[in-house]
Amino acid sequence: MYRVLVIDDEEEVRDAITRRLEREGYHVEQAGSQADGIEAIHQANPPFDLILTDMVMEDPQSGVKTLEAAMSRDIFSEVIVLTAYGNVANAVECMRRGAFDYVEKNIPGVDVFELLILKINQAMERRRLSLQSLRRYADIARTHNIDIPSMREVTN
Amino acid sequence: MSGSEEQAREPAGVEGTQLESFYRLGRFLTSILNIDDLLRAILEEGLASVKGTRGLVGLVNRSTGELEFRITAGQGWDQLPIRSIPISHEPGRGITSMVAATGVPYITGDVRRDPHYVMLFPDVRSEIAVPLVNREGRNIGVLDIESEEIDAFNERDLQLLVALANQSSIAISVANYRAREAALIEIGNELASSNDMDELLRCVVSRAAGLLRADDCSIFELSPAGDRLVLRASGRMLQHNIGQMTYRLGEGLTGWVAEHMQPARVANVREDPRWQGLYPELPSEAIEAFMAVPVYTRSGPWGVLRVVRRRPANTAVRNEFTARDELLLTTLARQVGAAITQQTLIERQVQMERMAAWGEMSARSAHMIGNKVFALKGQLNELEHLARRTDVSGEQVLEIVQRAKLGVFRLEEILTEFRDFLMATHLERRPADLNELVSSAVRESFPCGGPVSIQVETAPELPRISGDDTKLRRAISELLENAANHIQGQGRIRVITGPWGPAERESYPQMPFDPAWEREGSAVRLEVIDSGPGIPTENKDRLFAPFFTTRSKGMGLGLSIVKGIVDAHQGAIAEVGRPGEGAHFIIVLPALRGEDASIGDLNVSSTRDR
Repeated sequence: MYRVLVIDDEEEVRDAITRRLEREGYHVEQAGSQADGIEAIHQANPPFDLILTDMVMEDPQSGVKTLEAAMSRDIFSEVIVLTAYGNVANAVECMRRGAFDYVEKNIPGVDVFELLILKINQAMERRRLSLQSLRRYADIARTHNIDIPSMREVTN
Repeated sequence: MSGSEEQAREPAGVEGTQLESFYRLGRFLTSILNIDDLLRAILEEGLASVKGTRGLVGLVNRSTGELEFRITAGQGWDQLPIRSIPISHEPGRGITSMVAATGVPYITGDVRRDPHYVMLFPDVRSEIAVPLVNREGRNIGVLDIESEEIDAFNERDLQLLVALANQSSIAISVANYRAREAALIEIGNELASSNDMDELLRCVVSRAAGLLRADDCSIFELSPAGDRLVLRASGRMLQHNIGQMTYRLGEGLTGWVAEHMQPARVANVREDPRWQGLYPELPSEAIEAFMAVPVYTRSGPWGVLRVVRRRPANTAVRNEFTARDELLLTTLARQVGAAITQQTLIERQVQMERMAAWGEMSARSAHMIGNKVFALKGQLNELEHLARRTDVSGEQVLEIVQRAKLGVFRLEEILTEFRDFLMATHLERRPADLNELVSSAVRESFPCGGPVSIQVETAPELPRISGDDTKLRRAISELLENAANHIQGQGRIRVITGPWGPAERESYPQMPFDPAWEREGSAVRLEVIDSGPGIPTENKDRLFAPFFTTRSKGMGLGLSIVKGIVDAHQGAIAEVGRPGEGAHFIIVLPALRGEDASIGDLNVSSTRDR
């Protein structure tokens, strides 16, 4: 079961996403601020598979900072950034730094939750493939007796 | 003074006493405040000088065309059934009446043979009457002296009385100038401290009507497009047409003034080619005089201020406006223009302060609304999902619907706050009673039987205010809700109304100072005191700032909306409570000023009787 962290300062937003993801079979945890979110990322063991974070919370750079925290915890964590409609400049910056994608919260005429599930499923597929490749590399390394310390955690 | 040169030829003894009395009168004239005292002194001096037995100072009332008996001396006057006579130069209407009409001194040695004489007292034989003429050459009254002897008066007496009459005229002119000056200063002060455009204009028209002895005064404003004049205020006759009566630019005399931005002063309106008689206060034939002047503000032409006088029943007396009247109306129009300019500047300043919050306001509300809609979409998504399944209970659906409803309510709350914030400064003013506003706000927004009790202490006979009752009720409700929200468990809210004056100002030095509130009855106060924890010192500065909130509900605009509403009323709000001892809000609102602002003209003694 994939583990997802939802970070947003609006309780209603967190709850709506949580319910939809739980219906899809994800295990969901919540954080109500950038600080709580980053704390949760650092504490998580094993790391979250997916982090869904609001772009702007107490800080306009909340998305970028959360992304950095997630990457430093687990380079293969997938991050999807939620943005206000029409405010994509920062989201593009997040993608440049490795976020899987961004989703605008209010797209007229679009059921954003279906879009979100679609993106999340894609992200989880990419993570699955990444981890699969990683394991394969780890297997090869082990076969050839090469020790790569940073791979220990993901492969164990 | 024409009389003094003549007197120089008189014997030294007589000349001496007369000069003495003139000197005395002159001193009197400059020191006296009461015009009646002066006229009485002049009449007595006249009686003594020419050895008359009975005397009268009559003043012309141009509104009625009558000569009114202002001061009388000698016996029998109080038994007379009349206090005035119609002015006429026709024979048989009375000697004083004729002198008032012609302005020529008159002397008669035997009234029984005089065609102009009308008998008021049977014992009169000789009569002497001289006109009081003002600086503009108009007859403003008559000094009349009678004797029981035949041929009692000579040419010398006439000259003496002319001199005394001149003294009277000067005194009356001085008194009139003083009254006008005082009235102008008073109007100036009122205009400078006025806080409501409608009240300001009402005040001007009623003052101007009184000052100019006009039967009505009205003020018209140019429409934003500048092609129409719309009636904004009327002293009395056009009050029911305010906002509806309009002139096209150039239409009628009023439209002409607006088109050319030049004054018009017309005695015979029906003979003026510009006159169309469209919306007069009176039928054209009943109008004696019309005068209109343009009103300018700093940004250009603003409108027209106009006055009309009714034609007196007695057509022998003219009642047209003089050049001095025009100067006065022009002065008033300038003051109005300056006051409107100031008013506009104040409104713009209040508006700009709120506009500064507008940018942040938009961003925040977009963010909040976006999130609420996002959550709502989540609930719809869930409902859709449930609708596709067959094993769903009604309870499951209802639970989601309940959450969706809450979301919609939140959205509406945001919308209301947003709208209230924007509309706080757009007032529809009407005279309002603060006590009534308080009781209805308490009724509407305060449920009985809760853990918080409310105590309302209203002061009786509070001056009324000029306010938007809906907005003020909203402000009071917001303060009550704010208080209730900060009381945990049991508690009490006190709502107090009362006057605001120097004593209250001393008790609450935190309140902003406004010189316009120093006068007794010029402002009222509303206090809301709660038994909650009070406002921490560090929060006091930001208390009324938009988006400042210690609660998670809403956008934190509540108190900034209250401040906006109070500011728009030219009032003030402050929190004066001690931290830890409950919050204590005070609102001060300027009181409505009286409208009975008529200043009598000393020429018109009859205003007392009308």
